[in-house]
Amino acid sequence: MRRKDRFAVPILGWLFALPGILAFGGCAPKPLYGWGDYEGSLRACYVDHDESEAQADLERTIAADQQSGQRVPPGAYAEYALLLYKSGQSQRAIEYFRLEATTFPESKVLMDKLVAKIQDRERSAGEASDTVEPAPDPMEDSTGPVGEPSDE
Amino acid sequence: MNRTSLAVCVLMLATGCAAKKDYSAYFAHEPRSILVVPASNETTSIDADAVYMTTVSRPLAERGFYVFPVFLTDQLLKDLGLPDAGLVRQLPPQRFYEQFGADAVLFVTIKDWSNKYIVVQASTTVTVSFTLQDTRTGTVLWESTQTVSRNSGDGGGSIIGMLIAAAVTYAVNEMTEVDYSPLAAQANVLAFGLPGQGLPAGPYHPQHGADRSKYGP
Repeated sequence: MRRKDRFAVPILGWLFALPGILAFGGCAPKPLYGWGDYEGSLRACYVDHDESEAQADLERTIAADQQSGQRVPPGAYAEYALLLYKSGQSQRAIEYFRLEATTFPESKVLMDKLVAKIQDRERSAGEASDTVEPAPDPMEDSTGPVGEPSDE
Repeated sequence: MNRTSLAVCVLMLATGCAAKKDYSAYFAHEPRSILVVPASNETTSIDADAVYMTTVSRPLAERGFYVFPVFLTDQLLKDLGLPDAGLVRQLPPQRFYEQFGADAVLFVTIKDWSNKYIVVQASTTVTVSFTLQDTRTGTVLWESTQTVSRNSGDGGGSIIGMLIAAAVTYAVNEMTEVDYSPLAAQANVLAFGLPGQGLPAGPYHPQHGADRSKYGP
C-alpha cells in the first residue's frame, strides 16, 4: 500500500507537468551542440572569478564532445584558448583559436587577429618563446591538434 | 500547486499571440554570426548582468547562429578601453564589424530582476529586452522584450504541488539565495524561439531557410 502511494505521487506529478514540458520541448528540440559544462565555465568567469575552474570546465566539455561525437558549441574553443593564453600557454592558445576558426569560419577574422597578436607579443618578448615547448597535452592524442567535430 | 505549470503555458500562449513583427530588415541583412556585448543592467541587483551573460550563448547558438564567445568579447572590449555596457553602446555599429567580423550585434538590457515576497509566496521576475543590429548598416533587425515570472513556495504542504513545481520550474533555493539564471535562460529561449516572434532559424539550424513563412509576409 505504502509503496504504491510512493509511485503514484511522482507519476501524477509528471502528468501535470507534461503540458509544460511539451511546450518547452517545442521551443528547443534536440540540441545542436554538446554544451557540457560550457555555461558552468561562464559562471566561473563571470560570477566566481575563478578562471582555472573555467578552464577545467571547458577542457572537460571539449573532451566529452570529442568522445561522444557531439559538436563543440560555438565559442568553446576560443574561450578555452583565451584562458590558456592567460595562464601562460601561448602555443596551445594559438592552436585553439585556430580550431575555433576552422570549426566556425564566422570567427576567422577575429581568431586570425588574436593569433597574430599573440605571435607579435611572443616575438617581441624575445627568443625564449620557441624554445619553450608546452608539456605534452592529455587532450592531444595521436593526430596532433584536437580533431575537429564532423564538418557541416 | 499546478498553477506554476499553468502560468507557464498561459504565458507562452499569450506571448505567442502578440502583434506580428516586421522581418523585412532582418531578411535583407540575415546574420550568420552574432556578437553579444555586455548586458546593460537597469536594475538595482548588481550582479544581474554578470549572471545574465552566462545564460545567453546557449539559446542563441541553439537557434543556429554563430555566437561569439561572450567572455572573450567582454575582455577584448575592456582592452579597447570600453569597460562598461554604456560605453559599448556608444560605438558605431561598424566597429563591431571591423573589430570582430560580426554580422550583427545583440544589445541586451535587463529591466527587471527581482524577487518579491507576498506572505509565504515568493515571486521571481526577470524582464529582458533585446535589440539586434546589423553591423554594416546599423539597421535594427529585430527587437523583443520578454518577461518570465515564477512563483515559488506555493506548493505549501502538498507533496504533489512540490513535485510539480520541481518538475516544471527549476529547483529554487527557497529562503536563501535566488538563482535567476534558469529564469533568464527561459526568457532567452522564449525571446529567440517563439515562432513568428523570435529569431528565424540561423544557418546552423536544420530549419534555416525553411521557416521563413512564419516570419511575416
